[in-house]
Amino acid sequence: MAAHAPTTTPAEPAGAGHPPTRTPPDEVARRSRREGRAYRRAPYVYIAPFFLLFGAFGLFPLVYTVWISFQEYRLGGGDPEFVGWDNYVWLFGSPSFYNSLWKTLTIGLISTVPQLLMALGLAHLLNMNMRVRAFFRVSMIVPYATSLVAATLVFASIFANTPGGLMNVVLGMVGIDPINWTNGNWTAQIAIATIVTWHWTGYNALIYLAGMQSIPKDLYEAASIDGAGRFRQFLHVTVPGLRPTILFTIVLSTIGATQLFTEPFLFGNGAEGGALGQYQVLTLYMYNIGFEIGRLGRAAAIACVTLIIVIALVLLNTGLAFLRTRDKSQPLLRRRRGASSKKVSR
Amino acid sequence: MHRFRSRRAVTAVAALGVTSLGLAACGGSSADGAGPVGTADPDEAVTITVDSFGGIFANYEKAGLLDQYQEEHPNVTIEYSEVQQESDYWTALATKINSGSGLADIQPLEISRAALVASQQQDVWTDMLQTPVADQLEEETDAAVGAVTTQDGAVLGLPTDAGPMAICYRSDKLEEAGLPSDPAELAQQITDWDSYESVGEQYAAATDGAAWMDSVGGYYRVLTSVEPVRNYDEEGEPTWESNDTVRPSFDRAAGAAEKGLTAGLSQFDPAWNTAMNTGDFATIACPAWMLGYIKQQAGDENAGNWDVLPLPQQLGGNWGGSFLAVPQDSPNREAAVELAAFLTSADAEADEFRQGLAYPSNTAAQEQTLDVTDEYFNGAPIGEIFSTAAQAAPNQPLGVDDGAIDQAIGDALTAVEANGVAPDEAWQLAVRTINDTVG
Repeated sequence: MAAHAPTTTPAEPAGAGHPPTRTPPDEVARRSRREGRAYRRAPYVYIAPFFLLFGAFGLFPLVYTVWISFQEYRLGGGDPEFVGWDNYVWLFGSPSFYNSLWKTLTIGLISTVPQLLMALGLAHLLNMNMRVRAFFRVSMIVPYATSLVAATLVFASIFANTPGGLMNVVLGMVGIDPINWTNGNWTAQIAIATIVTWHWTGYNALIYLAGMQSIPKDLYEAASIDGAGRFRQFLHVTVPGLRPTILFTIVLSTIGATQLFTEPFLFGNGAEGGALGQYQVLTLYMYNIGFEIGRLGRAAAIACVTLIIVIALVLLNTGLAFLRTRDKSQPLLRRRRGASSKKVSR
Repeated sequence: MHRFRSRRAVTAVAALGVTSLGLAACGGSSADGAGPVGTADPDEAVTITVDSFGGIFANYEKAGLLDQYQEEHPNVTIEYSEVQQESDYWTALATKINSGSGLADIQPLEISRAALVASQQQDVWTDMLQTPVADQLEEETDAAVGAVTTQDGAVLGLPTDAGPMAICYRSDKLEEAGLPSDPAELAQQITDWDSYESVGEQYAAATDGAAWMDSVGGYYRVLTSVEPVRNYDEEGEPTWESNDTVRPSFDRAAGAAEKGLTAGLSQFDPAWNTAMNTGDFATIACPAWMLGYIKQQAGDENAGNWDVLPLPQQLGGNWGGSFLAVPQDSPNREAAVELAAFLTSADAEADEFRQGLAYPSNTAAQEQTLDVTDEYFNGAPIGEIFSTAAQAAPNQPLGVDDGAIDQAIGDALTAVEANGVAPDEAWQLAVRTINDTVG
């Protein structure tokens, strides 16, 4: 939608260029102005339903949350009472907040990084010529299509603390003692990161696969003529060509990691995130304060701070990736553009 | 994230948002439901809706009380829905109260929420003293009625059941370990908490380290339930940090965990449920309602393997209990109050307990059921055991943040049990968490 359209003076009326007909000229001008107005308004009318719904279900909750974050407001009791910045002061003095920030970061890292690397590798394999390719591609999406709740419950029994838990049995085969998965600090985080990785790897692999298929084939031909093997092709053709796609998945994963909720919530059967807060990520902390402790004002403050953190992280990631793109891949991109234009001219 | 290209559209939608915000803020509670409640018209057809948790209404249905009431009152239809977890139920209920709509005609309230309800929801619920069924409250204990009494003296619910405490144990496992399995003989060995733990050490020694208690949290619960105060004093001030209940009980429970007497399970976790069947622990602090839970989880194959032991030193404690509350805004208030009164009457509650369901809060019903025994628990005289425990139970003052305090202390105990954190350090952790969340 053109944002500035209504603010600028109306452009030449649509019919102004036509020679005058039998109707008086001012009448023509008026009618065409009217048509012009309707024409210009139409897009706004078409797009209005989205904005009305967005206003009701997107923007209003956002504004309302900001408002609540300045109130003392208990779940199930009393009216909100204005307290200024108290909730934010409390939040930045709360050790649990810093713990949850740290856990969000560590779980985010140990789930996102292996996930994206594995997705890249899988996409590369899927991009090769192989038998029953469709089967492998479809099976990639199966974890993503599986109910997260069901999957988490299955993983919770795989990572059960008892010696009979599947993971402990497997570890027992290589002589490792049973691990107390949910109560350990890193073990709990690794278990949760495993669920996240399992759920999203295939999804990201398919996005990478789509990106790979848009890389011109002649780049690979040129590379193989230059004597580059499969791996070098992957490193020097596929990865640089995928930069925009990788950037996209990094942004999505960052948002996803910051909003991680279902996996730790179900893994620990509540929002405490373990007895020592081993996996109490930001959203879990927010839920704990808001709906278990019942302090909605404080929970709203956490929500607002989380939003700012998400925006900051996305900007940071985008900025970093952009810098890298500008530093390194400029010549390649130019080369690629040259290659594809050559293709067109052929 | 939502991105905008038009500043004008943002302003317009923001204005819309702020307007609806103002509208939402206006939809507060109404005061017109506060007056006295009359009797329901017996000829007018009425559907009473109920939103419940934790099997309260499932039990009424099992006991035949709902059918009985609808037969006696042909104009009444009862429709109930129920969730298992009280925490889920409470979140949904509290959200409805905050938004000002959506409550059913009858909503049960759990006793751990009573302090919050009594201090902050006096405009939401019907004062039962202002209804024709007010007399029935005289049969209830001061502790139960006091829990839902507001500062102005309004009583916001009718007590449904009580949770007097005892100890349930696996008599078969004790016998295998060479310990007395008969409750009378066992009671001679377990004369206080110290001997309860030392018998546990004998059990562990005889069974190659099998767990004596189900969980450190359950032990802490029974220890605190018999004391005159818990987290708050009579004036409603939090005293948990320094009183004679919380810290000593914490230390004792943490000590039992360090001795390896606990099974390392979290109550109501799937693994804990399974352990009831397999006998991975020998004893469990059990309020009256736990008996039904044990039967369900341990299954028919364990009938006769369980028994019930009263707490040592004739101590009594209470864990749990609920109230039936009727919203002031309910369109069927009169009929709902009458149904709630029927379900919590002495006859109905006694009936329920005789059928092996909830234990009555109503003292008249407790007297009627002194002779009740339970075959599943080796014919234990549970009517007598729980009645004695209920009478000995202290009238503990409740507080608004009991839930948050109990949660933090429970977490700290788990840290001792599962993470090997030293009790002192775990206590400091709990203090910090509580001051952080409650302060």
